[in-house]
Amino acid sequence: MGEIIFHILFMIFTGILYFEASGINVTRASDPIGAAGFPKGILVLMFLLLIVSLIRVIQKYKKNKIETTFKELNIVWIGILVSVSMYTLVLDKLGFILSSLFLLIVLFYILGLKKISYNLVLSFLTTFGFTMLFGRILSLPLPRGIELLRDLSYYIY
Amino acid sequence: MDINLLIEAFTTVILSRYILAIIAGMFLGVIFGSLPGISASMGIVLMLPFTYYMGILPSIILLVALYAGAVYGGSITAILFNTPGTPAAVATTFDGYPMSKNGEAGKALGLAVSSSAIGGVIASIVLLLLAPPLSKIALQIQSAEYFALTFLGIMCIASIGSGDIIKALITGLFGIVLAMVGMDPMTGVLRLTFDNAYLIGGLEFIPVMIGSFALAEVLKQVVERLQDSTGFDTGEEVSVESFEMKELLKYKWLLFKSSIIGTLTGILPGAGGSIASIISYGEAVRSSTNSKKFGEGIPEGVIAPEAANNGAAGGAMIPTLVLGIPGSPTTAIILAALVLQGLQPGPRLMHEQPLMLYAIFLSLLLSSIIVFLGGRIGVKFFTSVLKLPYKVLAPYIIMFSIIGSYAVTNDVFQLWIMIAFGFVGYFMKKYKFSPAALILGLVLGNMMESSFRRQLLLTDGDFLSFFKRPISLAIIIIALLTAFYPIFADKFLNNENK
Repeated sequence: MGEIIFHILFMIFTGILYFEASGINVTRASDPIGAAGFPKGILVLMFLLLIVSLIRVIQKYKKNKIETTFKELNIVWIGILVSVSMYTLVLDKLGFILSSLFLLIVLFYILGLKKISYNLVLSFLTTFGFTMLFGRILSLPLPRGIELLRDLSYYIY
Repeated sequence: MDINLLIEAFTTVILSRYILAIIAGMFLGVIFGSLPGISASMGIVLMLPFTYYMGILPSIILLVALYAGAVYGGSITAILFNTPGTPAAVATTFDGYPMSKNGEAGKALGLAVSSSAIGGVIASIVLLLLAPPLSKIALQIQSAEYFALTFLGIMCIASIGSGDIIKALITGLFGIVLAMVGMDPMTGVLRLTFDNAYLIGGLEFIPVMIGSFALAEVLKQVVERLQDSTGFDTGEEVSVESFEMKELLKYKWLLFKSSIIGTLTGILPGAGGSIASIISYGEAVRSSTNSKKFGEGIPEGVIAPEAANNGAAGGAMIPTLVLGIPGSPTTAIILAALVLQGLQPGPRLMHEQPLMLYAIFLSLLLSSIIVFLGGRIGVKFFTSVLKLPYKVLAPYIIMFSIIGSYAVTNDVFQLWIMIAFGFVGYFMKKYKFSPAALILGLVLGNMMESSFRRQLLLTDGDFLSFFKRPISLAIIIIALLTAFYPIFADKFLNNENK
């Protein structure tokens, strides 16, 4: 059932992309098919193939009657996605060091590193190592955070 | 080829300080290439300021060695974590990662390093012997052939990507559509941006690649480890043992063929290692007596793409140096480095600085030999990483994914792209849609569209013009055969069995 839902969502997204492609300004076209021609053609082809694939999946589903289970509904799977999303939300505000430290503590914890002292030491050392490698040695402009955090970050990278 | 010049170039390159430059460049290249998002081009850019003080020859040798090392480096994470360091290493995941899962990570890495080195050596020899005539061939290739070549790339991956040709085609086409996001290169109008300013410059393939391979793989591992009760306390059961050289000799013909495919594809500006490795993998599947076992983790599946993408890296130096046309961001930066040093790459370089040109090709050759010698030592170190408990390894993979995505444009928008494709990529893997086809579509999409439209523009909208040029027609026929041969072969065999 999950595969059927995935196909339907994929088809809806293809439709949305086609709708967006229909709005492309083609008045400046210098070639026979214009800026919208290629993406629209590809999207139509994609939609047709999705229909074929969906029919095959439905036939397989009717034949085998596979029971639907959502193995993804567990704390680790959801925890990883949520924690990385939260990290992305706060990265510009807290800066690389603090955000990464929090993220690593959470990731190590949900993956089973429950011993707090070991978790904290490993998270701290990892954050420090990444900051030195990418911020100092490779001079990547890692996010610095805002206000005081920003000023402090200049002492480190 | 002038033998005296070649000997002079050789005696120059084997000076100890140049050998040191090659070793340093190769070492840095392997590191940069193995980190997804921290690409060879970034490594070269970071090294540029240091090369100002080094003189022309050592600086170019360093950068070329870095480039060669990075191509091999891309295969390390592809084999160990199913995360290609570069798009050219996507095909290496097909069999490299299954080999790793089967406990043969050491062997897979050993094969990758040896094939990479041999691919590089063969490409260097071809460059030394045939650079001028090959550059003329590159100039013959026009829009129709470029379109045909990208079409071949997509068809190859559709036929081998995930075992389901329709699903692989869907994801390949989806990748092409994603490549259209942003400003149309021919008219300048915005397309598929949903009024998002971050998308005006287009969708970067690195965060998409990292998301759909690395993050999706972590999510997949989580589900699998919870399901089969392996948990996160254990690492992989891996053998750090490499392989006997005589084993590689069994595949000498495949090595040679893949290296030549790579070199010839590499000389076409813009085509590069991504197409080369896929075409070479496709050819290996087609010509193998073991074709059903591809994708389950067999040595041929690692040898073919690795020899080809290193061959392509060598081949790409021909248009860059002899024609002055860089085919990739990395070669564009090497070109810029040459210009900064006061050289003018182009047709006149062959006449004005032949010693320089031969020295560059020889340094590529020596880099490959050093990759061969040094890479085998590195295999044990890289393989031992897999022994880390997954509860430690997974957060590291996620952190590298985050930094690799962020580094592309230095903003958090790329992280959202990575997360979105990590989520979608997980379900793509689960339902056998090929993330590899998605990446190849994304990498080739722009080239495919622009060559298609340019050809129509040149021929007043003649759609048949793609079939009127012999090279283009031949490539299209090969592409169609590649895609549909397995289906017809299966039907034919079924009928025979009845």
